[in-house]
Amino acid sequence: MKLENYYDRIDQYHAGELSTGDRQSFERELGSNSDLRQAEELYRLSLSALDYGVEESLRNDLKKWEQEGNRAASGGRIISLRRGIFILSAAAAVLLLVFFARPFLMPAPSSDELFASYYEAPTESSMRGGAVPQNALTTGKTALAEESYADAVEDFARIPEGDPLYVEAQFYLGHALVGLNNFSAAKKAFEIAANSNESKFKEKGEWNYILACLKLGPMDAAVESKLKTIAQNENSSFAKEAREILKKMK
Amino acid sequence: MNAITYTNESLVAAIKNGGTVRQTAIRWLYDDKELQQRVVSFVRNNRGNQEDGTDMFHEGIIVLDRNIREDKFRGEAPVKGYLYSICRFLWMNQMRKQERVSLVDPIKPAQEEPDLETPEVTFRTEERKNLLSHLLDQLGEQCRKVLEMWKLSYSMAEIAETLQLSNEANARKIKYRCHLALMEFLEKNPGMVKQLKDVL
Repeated sequence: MKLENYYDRIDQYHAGELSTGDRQSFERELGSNSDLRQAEELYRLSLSALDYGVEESLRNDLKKWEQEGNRAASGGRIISLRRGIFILSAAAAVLLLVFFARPFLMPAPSSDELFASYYEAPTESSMRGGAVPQNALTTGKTALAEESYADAVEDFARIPEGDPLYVEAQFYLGHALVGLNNFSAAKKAFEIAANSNESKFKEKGEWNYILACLKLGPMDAAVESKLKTIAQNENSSFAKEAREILKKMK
Repeated sequence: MNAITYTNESLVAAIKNGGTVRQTAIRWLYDDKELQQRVVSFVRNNRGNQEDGTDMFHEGIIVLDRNIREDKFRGEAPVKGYLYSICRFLWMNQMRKQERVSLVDPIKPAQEEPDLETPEVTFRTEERKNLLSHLLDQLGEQCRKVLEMWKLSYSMAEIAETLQLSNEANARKIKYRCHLALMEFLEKNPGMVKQLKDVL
């Protein structure tokens, strides 16, 4: 089979460059001409290979950008080998010093860093469900998933105290307020969930309350005590994280 | 710093458009350090390390790019939220494969709500990767670059300029010759065609 006899038409067909009549005629011929059909199949398979190549190229680009970023962050200077060895020796000496003096020199991570490491915003999938009819809670969750935090706050705040959905609304209100960087209000909303009797939101509410306190800093003794209680409670979903935070705070 | 900014719609349109417009849009997404940090934090909180987190962010961008180009992204969710969901999904899948389940997620998924968009992630099997990689190896470096750029809707003028070819017409000629060579290789290797059809 002479593939070149068919190439241009197949190429135009895939590019959407054929007129309606030519396209229909091409499709009819695909049904009757086995050579054309085979050539078209080879064309499609070759495109799959090129798609793979495109992904590999993007992967390489991403790696390159990351390396550029790392180089930029470290100054990206080119140094001679001798100078490099000298610098490495000096760095090793400094590292040894820092290692022994670490307890006195290393600052604990900031509360901002700790918050960023441990705070997890609710995702679309995590907010799904509940046999809840279309109401402020549902619209609030949709707004939160779309990162329209102000709209979400407005919706969640519409659910009054005493409503069966109040605790859940306060929990998500806390997350919406975090999205708006209003951590004091977020803290209050999470506290309501933490002090509730709703097991689904109590533990998560308490955890996010602690994270909000951490973000607002400095952490007071009462909050630290809550953190220690969680760390010691092996049944808590956040025991591991609590222990890590306490360790990092030291 | 990147001065360009995108709405959801313009970002999707830019990626679909291909060429340098797509490249700029992907770079803009990549440069969102806050989003990258969210992905890295999720991975680190779930038994991964910084490098795993960065890898997931990269793989997420690759899947997002593919899903947008293949019209699998319906545009019902913000692109960045969708990208974050893809990264989470990829990492959770990797963890499951390693039988390291029980992920730390402060807010556990509740019941499904079908009207919110979830990422569709097609996994590339090793067999498929090896086959496609072997197929591309049949092409020379220049052929491969020309064809990949053409596949990404770069214009012939852009291809000629980027790859320092004499002119547009020359780029078109090279594309024709290289693509035909790839198809001819497949024609001569029916076994490979069969294998490809099985894995695609």
